[in-house]
Amino acid sequence: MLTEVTFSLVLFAAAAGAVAGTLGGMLGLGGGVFLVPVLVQVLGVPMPQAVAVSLTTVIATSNAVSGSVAGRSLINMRLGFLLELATAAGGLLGGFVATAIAPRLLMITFSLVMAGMSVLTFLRRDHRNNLPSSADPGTWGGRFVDETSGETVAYRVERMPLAIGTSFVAGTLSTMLGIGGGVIKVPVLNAWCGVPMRVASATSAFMIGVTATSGALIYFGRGLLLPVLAASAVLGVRLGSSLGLRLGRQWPARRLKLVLAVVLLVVSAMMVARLP
Amino acid sequence: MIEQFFLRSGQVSTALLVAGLAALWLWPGEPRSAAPIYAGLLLLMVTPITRVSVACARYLRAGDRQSAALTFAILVVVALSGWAAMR
Repeated sequence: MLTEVTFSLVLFAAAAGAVAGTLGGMLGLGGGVFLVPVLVQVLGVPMPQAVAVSLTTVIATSNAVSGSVAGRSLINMRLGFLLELATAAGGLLGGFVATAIAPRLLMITFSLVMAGMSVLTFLRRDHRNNLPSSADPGTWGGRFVDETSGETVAYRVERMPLAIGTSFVAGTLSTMLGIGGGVIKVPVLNAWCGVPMRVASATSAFMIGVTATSGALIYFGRGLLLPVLAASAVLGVRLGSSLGLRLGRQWPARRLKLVLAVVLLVVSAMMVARLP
Repeated sequence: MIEQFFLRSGQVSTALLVAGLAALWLWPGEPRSAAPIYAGLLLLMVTPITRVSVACARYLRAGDRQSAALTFAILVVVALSGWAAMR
């Protein structure tokens, strides 16, 4: 069934991809935490194949954001590369310790962290990291045009060890749970490290593509990627990410943070629902 | 030219995926029908790593050794991750 092109299969996978792409374009999340359970529970896709499709859509989201003019103006490449190194190293560790931690304990911890991040994001919904354009952005900060105000603003990256440590943990969990890691990095970068919401989202979207690549290529090489499902989901991502990018640029940061807080809470609840 | 590659790669992979889905729908039993989809997905997957490689080369050319080392280290760690996962 999953290797044949049926209208309902293509439509469903494209719709699921569109949701993941919208979240990715708007909030810098890969959408794997949504896509994997949907593919497994609704379409009956085996777990490895679902993860393979999810990783492919994460890359599609990342490419869409990184390739767009709007995304490129917001991505902090140097910060992204530094944090990506920590994420990739964490992912490498995750591959080795994946069997050492009980999945139930890991999922409960992740769920609690997500719930905490949700509360934090909600409480800091009115906090802004924007500085005047004349301010010194430091080594890792930068400037961008805030489309809601039309002004150029600067930002400075603070608590770099925390940003690096969080990226490392996100990479480890990414490997262990099959997620992109954006759900961890975006709230921390925004709430504690001085990175504005739009920059954190775009930079995260840029990073998750690199994180997902090695895994996706391995699944691809092993023939675990279902072509019809993956193609349909990726086409959905292309549509959804365009919408997400537009919303991410136009919506006020406060609204984006509220959406992120809700998404994190839903992710937390979904993880609890999937407990073995 | 490289910017154009990144801009076009998304469009080319989308076109390949659509063509592959159409081919699979028209000729479901034909094994070659899925070839455009695989080509589109492969193009999609190599794009982020190509982006890092290009950035590494650009930093080197600009004399920014710190950033070049950073991007090169990412490529090494991603390659190591792939190697570890294949074992």
